[in-house]
Amino acid sequence: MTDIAPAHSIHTMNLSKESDEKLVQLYQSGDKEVFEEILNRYESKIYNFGVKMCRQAEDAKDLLQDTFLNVFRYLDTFRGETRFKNWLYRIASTACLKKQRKRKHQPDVELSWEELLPGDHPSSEEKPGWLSTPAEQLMNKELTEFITNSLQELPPKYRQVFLLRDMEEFNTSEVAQILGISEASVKTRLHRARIFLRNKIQEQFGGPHSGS
Amino acid sequence: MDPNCREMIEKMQEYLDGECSEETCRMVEKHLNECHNCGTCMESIKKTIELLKGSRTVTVPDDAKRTLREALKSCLE
Repeated sequence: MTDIAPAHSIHTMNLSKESDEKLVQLYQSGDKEVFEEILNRYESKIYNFGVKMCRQAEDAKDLLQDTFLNVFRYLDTFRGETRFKNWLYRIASTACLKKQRKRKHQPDVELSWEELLPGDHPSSEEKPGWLSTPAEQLMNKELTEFITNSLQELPPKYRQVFLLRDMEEFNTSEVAQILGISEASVKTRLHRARIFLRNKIQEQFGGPHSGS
Repeated sequence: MDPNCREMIEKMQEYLDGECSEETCRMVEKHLNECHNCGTCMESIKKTIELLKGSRTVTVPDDAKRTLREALKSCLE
């Protein structure tokens, strides 16, 4: 594997224990070798974000490259107004949006509550079986594939919010900042995305559609 | 669906995320005590998030790692 740090360099600090902020500080003071640690820390996360956002492995590879090249180019100008991780995901999300616009492969349709919650209360008070089964028992190759495909059926703007909020665990205000939208929009998209995915999983397990 | 329950769906999610006001929290808790179906709905949302979080992480392909490092190296030169 090609290492961006020169072969002769031996870093005196154990970088894996340093905070992101410290790595940025070192980078900005001229120690470009710390970039390898930034890569090790976030490469897999950004690639997986790309796979879930774009579905195609080739697009995820492009997203990975575009994101880190931009981080490399602009890290000197990063002033720490936000956490480094938030700034990184903002770059990745923007790259993702650009790719999407270029390809135009999935329209950003609106999800309405009327479509998401069409039914009345189910007459049965019985709890669907999948809710009482531990997640690790439900998880198998087929379900993982089903979940990945269901995520892809979510319109991109809902998928992006869901991934950032529930998978990457940013809070609502951070997601709003990363995507440049209001907190109210984050909540609306998140709530609808969750119900959309819940409906898909419920259909897979044969439970009631509305569930409420 | 009862319009009251439909309205609760968003409030329940704010509750789940610990993002609602004290007053809304009380309102959601009261509703959940009275409405079995909304309790099930909230459980199903929690389980959905759990299942999605549990879905596997893919390994970055070696060729993608290599290409990225080569591109970064050429930026350094």
